[in-house]
Amino acid sequence: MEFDIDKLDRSAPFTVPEGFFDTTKRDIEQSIARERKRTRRMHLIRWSMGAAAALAVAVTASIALHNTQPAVPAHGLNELLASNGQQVATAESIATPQGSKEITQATQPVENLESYLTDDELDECIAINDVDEFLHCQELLETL
Amino acid sequence: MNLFTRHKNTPAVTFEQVLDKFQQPLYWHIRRMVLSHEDAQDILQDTFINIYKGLSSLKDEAALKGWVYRIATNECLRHLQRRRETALSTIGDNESLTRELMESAHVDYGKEMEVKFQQALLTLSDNQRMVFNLRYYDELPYQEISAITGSTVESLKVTYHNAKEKVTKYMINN
Repeated sequence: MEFDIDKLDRSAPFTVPEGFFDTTKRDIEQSIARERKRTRRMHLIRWSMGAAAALAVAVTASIALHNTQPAVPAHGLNELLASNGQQVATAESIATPQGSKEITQATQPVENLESYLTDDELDECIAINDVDEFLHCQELLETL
Repeated sequence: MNLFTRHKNTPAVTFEQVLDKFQQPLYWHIRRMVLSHEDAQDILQDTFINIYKGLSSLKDEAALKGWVYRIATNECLRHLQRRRETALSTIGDNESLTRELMESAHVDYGKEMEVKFQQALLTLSDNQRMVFNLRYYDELPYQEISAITGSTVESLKVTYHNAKEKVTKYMINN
């Protein structure tokens, strides 16, 4: 049997609803408008999530940084104690035997105490000193 | 806002021009592949959304036709693949498409020879059918089909020849 497909009418049996191609353009336009809206919303969501993540990182880093810092810096502590007439023990000062000069400096605040106290306060200190058993234990031992 | 102003910088081609020029050829190309009017309508919309998204990156106007056909073809093949994956295992490869062809409200069953010819085409693989349709119905030169499918001209000639043989055999036997 002779059959040549090139001799056939090259049309398909398919049909479309009336006015289909007139409305296609409008339908596609609407689809694209929806797609653009969706894409814009996705961009907004992504941007918001990015901003939130950046903020969270910044807050976390700030908290972490705050926690790793000392409450009072070392040099700040020295200055604070120095202003109160005290000295900070350092590794060197512990290792090296202290000279008389340093001892004098250390007792100086006690000597200066008299100038800060009133007469009544001094009398009270002397009274406490007189009855203090630990301060006078040597004298007690001698009397025994 | 005009939807088509975004691509005004693309030399000599706007989305509106692409839509006007290709909506019908692409619809028929898709329809011949998926057979169902409703599916073809959905795929056509997806195709134009993809065209819209990618048009600004297309600089060579000469490549436009191959490019839009490639997008449509890929959408069709994806659709057929999905359809096959979701179909029951008892249904043969093109059985559901044959049913689609024989039970559609948008097929002119008065054209018996053409309907029979479509049945013959359903004996081909998706790839063979695509090449056959592009050559036989759209009358595209092999060079253009090559740009769409990514196959060589020689391999396309062989594919078309084999498809033609198979369809002829089906038509003689039925």
